[in-house]
Amino acid sequence: MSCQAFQEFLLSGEPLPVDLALHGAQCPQCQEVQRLWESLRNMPQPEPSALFTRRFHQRLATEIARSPQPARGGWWLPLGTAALLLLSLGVGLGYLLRGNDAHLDPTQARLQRGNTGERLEAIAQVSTRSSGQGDILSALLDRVQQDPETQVRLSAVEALYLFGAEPELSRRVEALLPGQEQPEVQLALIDLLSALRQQRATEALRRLVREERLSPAVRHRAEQRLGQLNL
Amino acid sequence: METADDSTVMNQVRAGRGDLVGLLFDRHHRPLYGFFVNLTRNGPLAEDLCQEVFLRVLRYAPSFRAGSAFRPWLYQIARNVLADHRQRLRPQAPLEAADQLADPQPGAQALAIAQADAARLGEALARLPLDKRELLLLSRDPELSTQELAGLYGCTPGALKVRVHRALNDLRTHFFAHQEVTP
Repeated sequence: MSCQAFQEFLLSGEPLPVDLALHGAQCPQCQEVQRLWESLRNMPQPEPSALFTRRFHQRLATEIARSPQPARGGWWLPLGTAALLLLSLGVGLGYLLRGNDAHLDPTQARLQRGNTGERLEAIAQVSTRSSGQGDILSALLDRVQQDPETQVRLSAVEALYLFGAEPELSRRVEALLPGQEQPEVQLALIDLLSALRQQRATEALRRLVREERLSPAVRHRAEQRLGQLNL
Repeated sequence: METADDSTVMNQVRAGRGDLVGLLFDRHHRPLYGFFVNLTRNGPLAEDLCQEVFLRVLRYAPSFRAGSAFRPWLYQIARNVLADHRQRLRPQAPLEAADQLADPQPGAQALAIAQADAARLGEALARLPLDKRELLLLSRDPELSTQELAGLYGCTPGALKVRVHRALNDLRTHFFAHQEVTP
């Protein structure tokens, strides 16, 4: 009974009464439990990956944009919706009036033709949008495939996490892998495929590990991610 | 709002300020991530589960009772997320023992080998059934009182202490048994 009383007091964090403290000093079993409890409480705090926080905030922004706004949100909400409608109409009219060679909006134009800084900024901007998803997805995939700067390719891969619900994303990401020569981009694409957790992603990783000309580091990562998906 | 307590922030979320879930995430995601990593020994999976918890905070904000403590509510969601995950996984892997979840993630491993004791403790924890592991990991959280934890488990504080006591003794058996065979 003393052991149980000692240990329950220990867990409560309250100061031990004298009789229990005396018991603890003499009981090897309770000393082991005390040591274990202290180790448990002092276990090192693991840290998530560096990108996790950023990815969550982007996902949260997307989730908020997709979810219906509360009715009591304020007078500005209907006005905001009207403004968005007017803006869409304006963009649509502008498109019709300017012809096909001006079909890109300014952000997409910067994404394709801007300098490195402008392309990175454009990726950050498109990541927070909730409309025109299909165009944006294609533009991001295009950046991963073609951009001369590794940094831009990696940012575009990161932005692709926001499109995880797209059913065809695994196939399109898989199609990008053979053309990638930078191991960092290959690793980022493998992580993305793994995070998609779609059946197609598992198949894509299986095909990848069978590739003969894969670098050891890339193969290792692909095998790791495949192992996780198969759990 | 940066200095407001969690309960006040949640009231704002309920009123339509979904963006403030980001603030709650910044305050609580590390211990929650730690909880999931220690439970599953899988860093990427822990991130997924952690993200899902905060997305549910946004979706289920209307069910948060004004004035109640946020942390127990958060961990109740976390337990539900874990239960849902186990349900999805059940046909392939029951997730009863964390040994079944290999952890090739260097970041997650690093935490376990930071100290020799911590590594052995992680192994001993992994040998416990999931419910006991979960209970011990929650009971070590200094921001969850015995009363709040008992509320999570739907029992009295006294009954909860007995459960933790038993789980701790099971952990002790695994921890010291492992020590005896280690040269």
